[in-house]
Amino acid sequence: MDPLFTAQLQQTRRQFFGHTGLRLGGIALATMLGENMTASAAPAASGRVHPPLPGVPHFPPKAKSIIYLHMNGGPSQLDTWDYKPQLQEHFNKDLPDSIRMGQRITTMTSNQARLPVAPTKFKFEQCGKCGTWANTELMPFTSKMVDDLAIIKTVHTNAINHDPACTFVMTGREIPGFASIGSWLAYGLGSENNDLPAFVVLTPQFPHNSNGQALFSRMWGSGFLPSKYSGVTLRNAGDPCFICRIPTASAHSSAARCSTRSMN
Amino acid sequence: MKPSYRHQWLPVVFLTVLGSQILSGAPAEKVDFNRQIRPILSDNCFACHGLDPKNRKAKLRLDTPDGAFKKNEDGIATITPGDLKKSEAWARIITDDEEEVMPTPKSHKPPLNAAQKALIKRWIEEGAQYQRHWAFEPQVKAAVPEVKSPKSEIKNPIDAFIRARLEREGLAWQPEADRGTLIRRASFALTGLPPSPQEVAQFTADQSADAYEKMVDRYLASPHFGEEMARHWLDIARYADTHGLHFDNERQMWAYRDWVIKAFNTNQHFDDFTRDQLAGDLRECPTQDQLVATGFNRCNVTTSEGGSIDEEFIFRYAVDRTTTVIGAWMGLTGGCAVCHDHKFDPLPMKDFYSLYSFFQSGADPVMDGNALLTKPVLKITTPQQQAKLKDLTDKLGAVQKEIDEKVTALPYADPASVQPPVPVEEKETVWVDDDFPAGAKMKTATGNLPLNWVTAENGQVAKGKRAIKRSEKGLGQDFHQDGAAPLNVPVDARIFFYVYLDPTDPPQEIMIQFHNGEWKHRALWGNPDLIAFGTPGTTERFVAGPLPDTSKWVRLEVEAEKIGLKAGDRITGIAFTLFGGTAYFDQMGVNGRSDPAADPAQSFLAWQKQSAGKDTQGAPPENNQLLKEGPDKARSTDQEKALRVYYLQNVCTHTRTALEPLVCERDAVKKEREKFEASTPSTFIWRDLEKPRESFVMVRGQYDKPGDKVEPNTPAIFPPLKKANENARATRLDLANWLVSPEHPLTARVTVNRFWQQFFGTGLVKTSGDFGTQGEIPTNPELLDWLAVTFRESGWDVKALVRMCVTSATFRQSTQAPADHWKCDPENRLLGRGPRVRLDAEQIRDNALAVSGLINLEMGGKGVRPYQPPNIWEPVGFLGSNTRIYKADTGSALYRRSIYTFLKRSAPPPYMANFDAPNRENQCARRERSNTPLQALQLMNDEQHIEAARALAERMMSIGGATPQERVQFAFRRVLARDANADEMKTVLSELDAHRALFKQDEESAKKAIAHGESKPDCNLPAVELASYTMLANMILNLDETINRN
Repeated sequence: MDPLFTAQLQQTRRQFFGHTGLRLGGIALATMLGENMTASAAPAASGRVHPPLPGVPHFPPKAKSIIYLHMNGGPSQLDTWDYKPQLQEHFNKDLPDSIRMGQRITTMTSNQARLPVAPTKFKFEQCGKCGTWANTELMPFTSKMVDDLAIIKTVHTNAINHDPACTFVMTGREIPGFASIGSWLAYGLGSENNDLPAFVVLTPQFPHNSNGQALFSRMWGSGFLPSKYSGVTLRNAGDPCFICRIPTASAHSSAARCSTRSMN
Repeated sequence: MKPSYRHQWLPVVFLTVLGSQILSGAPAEKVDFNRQIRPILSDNCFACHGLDPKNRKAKLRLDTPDGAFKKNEDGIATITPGDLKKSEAWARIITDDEEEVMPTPKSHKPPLNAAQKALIKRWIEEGAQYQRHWAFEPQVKAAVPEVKSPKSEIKNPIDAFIRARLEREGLAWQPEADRGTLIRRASFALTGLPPSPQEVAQFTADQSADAYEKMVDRYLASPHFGEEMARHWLDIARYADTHGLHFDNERQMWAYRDWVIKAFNTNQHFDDFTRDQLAGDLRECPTQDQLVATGFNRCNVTTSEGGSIDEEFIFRYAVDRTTTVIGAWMGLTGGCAVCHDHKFDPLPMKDFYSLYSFFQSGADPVMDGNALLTKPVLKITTPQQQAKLKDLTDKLGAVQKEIDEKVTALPYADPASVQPPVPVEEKETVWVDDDFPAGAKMKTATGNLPLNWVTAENGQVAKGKRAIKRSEKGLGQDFHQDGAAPLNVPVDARIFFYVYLDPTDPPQEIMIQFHNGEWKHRALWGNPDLIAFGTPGTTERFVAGPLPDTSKWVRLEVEAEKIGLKAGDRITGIAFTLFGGTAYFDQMGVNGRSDPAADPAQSFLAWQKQSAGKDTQGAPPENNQLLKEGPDKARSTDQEKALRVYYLQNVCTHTRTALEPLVCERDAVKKEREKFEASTPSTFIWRDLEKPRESFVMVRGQYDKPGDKVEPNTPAIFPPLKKANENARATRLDLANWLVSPEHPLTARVTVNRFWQQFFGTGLVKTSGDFGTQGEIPTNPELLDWLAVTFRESGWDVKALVRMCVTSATFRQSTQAPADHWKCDPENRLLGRGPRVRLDAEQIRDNALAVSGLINLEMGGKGVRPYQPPNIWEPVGFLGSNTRIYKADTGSALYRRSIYTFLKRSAPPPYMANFDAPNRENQCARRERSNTPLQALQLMNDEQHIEAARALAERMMSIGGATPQERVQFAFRRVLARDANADEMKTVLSELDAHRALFKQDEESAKKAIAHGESKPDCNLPAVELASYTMLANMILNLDETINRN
């Protein structure tokens, strides 16, 4: 990488505040990241606050953003989108070796005397013009939208437990330490949105007594990538962005805190 | 190395090795393989034509001259030194044919650019000379270079090396920074804290020539030196306060963190620091400290997720430990060789797994049990505690001896061996009728009403004079747990009781429970899901049947065995329980055979028969083993005697009674000792299994695909391992000794480079975690080697090395430099100006706490919990996790130094994560320094920072002076160790006026601004004034200069 460009990327807070003009209260992250700043730091990057890597993407993208819902502990694919009618014939029969093919199973089930097949209990129908099979009993509304959905049924993990499987789904590895998918997208594709961070995460709030399944901040962490590619969490309790609230009452204008700029 | 290679390999000679592309060498210079060619080959070719034979294409390797110069069947060589036309590689690089060109488009690598092609061309033309990778060559201590600069500007050899390089590049060098900047720089570098006003005054007033050195020595002697140094090592050791996976529960090993601090403070030399952490347990008579140090390789993340497969996690832990050691001491990316031979560095899988073999036999279990302490652990005790413990142990020994003596004197004849045999009789024993057993302390739990005995006049009675009546909407019970003499469970026992269900309001479930040390024996009738005691499907919650008919007395029975009670057990508590409704309970007792010869409580032999083949709770391990093996297995007289003594003391009803008072005394002392032990902390340590596991190369890194067997050994590329005992298996101590042996090319280099990175911002090798061929080469290799050898020759004296770094003129330079200097060397890799770095996350917080006077400098101990916004832990918390809910500490614990902050791996403290602190799931050799909006927001709005600003404002107003000018100067001196200049003063004062004007109009806002944090604002200070100064202090704490080491 061009060392001058690298140096500009490593701009100091002095430059940062100098260029952006710090406004509080109604502060917008966009202003914080500042078009001015990018304009000066990386003139080639088309004025975007979160520019993509050079040459990326290599085809004209259709999607503007990606919303990823990680439905941890949700219903099984067999009860939602993955219609497996033959399972009904095998109901309560042992899982054939031709299917299992020596796959490992968790120690929680490996002690079972037998491994019977359990098909879905719900009604499946072909939906929409495309005729996709869907569980219309549990998803009466979503199943009507199948023509607008891309359903991918071909992914799987080798992990048999929640923690490694979720870590794998989100980072590509079962072992912690790698960057999450959102971090990679922020790193490679950046964002066309100049008003928000490239990668935001809405973290859940579980009811008091519910036992939410394995989530870890590594699922939106940047691993070995610089931490600016970490997901910015918007939380479901307290202030969504926990350090945006100014410490005085609202009447105390944020303009009065501008001087950090002139001091730096 | 085969002799034939020799003429082809050039010894590594660094002449003008440029670390980056800062400056171009003179064109006439010969192309340098390591600097200019290896990076190109490594990035573009080695993945398919390198070390890894499995992925090697066309049987061609380009990482050795042998491979590159070999002719194929057609007599064409890939590279012919000096002859481009006879070099197939060159033809393939420049061709336009997509099928032919290299790197092939299939590799997704872009074609070589013109500059790279030109270099390859020149290199081949100049003879294609290979060099071995510099980092694997022996360290060479070069002579300190002569430089043109005046002697007075050269404080130590570091400066000579740095200056020689700068002179060669024609780059300038900056004068010494001013004293305020210097002491602030040194103080942060050495203690992670800002200098106190007294320290600044002392230093600035000192006119002696060695004032700076004396100041440095004061910081080197400060206990906070160890804290700052430890912080960096803890990133390497991946230390944290939770297990890391799944539940991510708390683990107790802060004693290891404190040991690291102590090791730096006492200047433990790095060789012993290495030995203790890798093999403290193998040292001769290891001290407590040496054992604590072995916690290094217990710092890895562990799981206790149900369903985990043992073999998989044994493998994963060992891989983590091995890669951590390789990274920490050798600066190599060992993880690459888990699944295949390392593609870039000479680390084949076999070598990786030979190292892995050292760490695969840890005695820790696969599942951490979500426990605070997962064995093996060590109790950490002070000498006083040790004395008290000894006292209690002695006392225990004395009582035990008395018991033992009494036992031998007691007459006992096993009824199983008495002639004629004692007759067997069926017997019914009543336990409860008209009252609980004599002396029982009755309790009523959950229900609202007290114990209610009714007679035939006011209720139902089955036997005797009275019965228990209970009437509840939900759960209710009557029980005793102590006070009464224990009840004996006979042979083939059936427990019975009478119950009458009210027809108008029948309960939905009834239950009887028995206490035998614990409440673990229950039988229930009716709906089994209402009373939530015990684990369903076990003897803790046995479903005995449906509810009986209402409006009549029914006798219910259950076999004692069904609820986990066996002959000889002693029942110390009984409970009658019901859920929702009204019932009467009457007479409870037991039916069983009185057969002394078959009763384990009376017959030694019967007891042994009963205990065979299983574990006996409470029995010492050796007795347990004998019992498990059964009475038929031959044992020695001593073993027989020990078992018999245990039986008579603890089991046999006849003899036990006689011993009761002594046993009570013993149990009391035992309890006291247990309590005392529980109050002293423990820490994770390393111990090996008695029998080491066999290690194998794991095919494709699969835990269940063992390949060739390996023994503990070191990688072949390095000098061979010397074992203390030639004939024995290599030990971790051998490994540690090998790492710090003078022949090892990496340890000293990697270590001095990390210290260098700490003080100068960037390592001499920038990729401080990768000294392999994919890493950067050193900017100043002669200096790196000189430091490495000097460090080693000093006996690995850390403080001496640190002192040399920070007393160098290089470190003391001003960071101000002319613009063209910045342009020539934007990253300051050649150090022609002073090192300026953003403070680390911990330093930023500690600084705010220190300058505001809030800080609590207490050292060591359990992790503390400072302010943290709500809902950081909760989204990642399991219901059963003990780190699910974050509750901040109160009082002075809030203001402890950041190194003591409780670190939950799956949700690290935001104030750390925002400023690039790692989450300690993996080793981190080098923190990024990023710049994000969240950082600015944190410093302006975070509770901790606003509270610190207020505390600083209070000090400005109370001790800073009477006028605003004096107060601003006070804050500047405290925070920046300098005075504000006229311009700054003007800005700040106008700022003060602006705040004051706004707050005057809006006093509520002022009150709010000073109300952050737990500490209370000084009520003698007017709110508007204090709030205005608070905002001012907040601004000063936010200055660029404040959060940088300038």
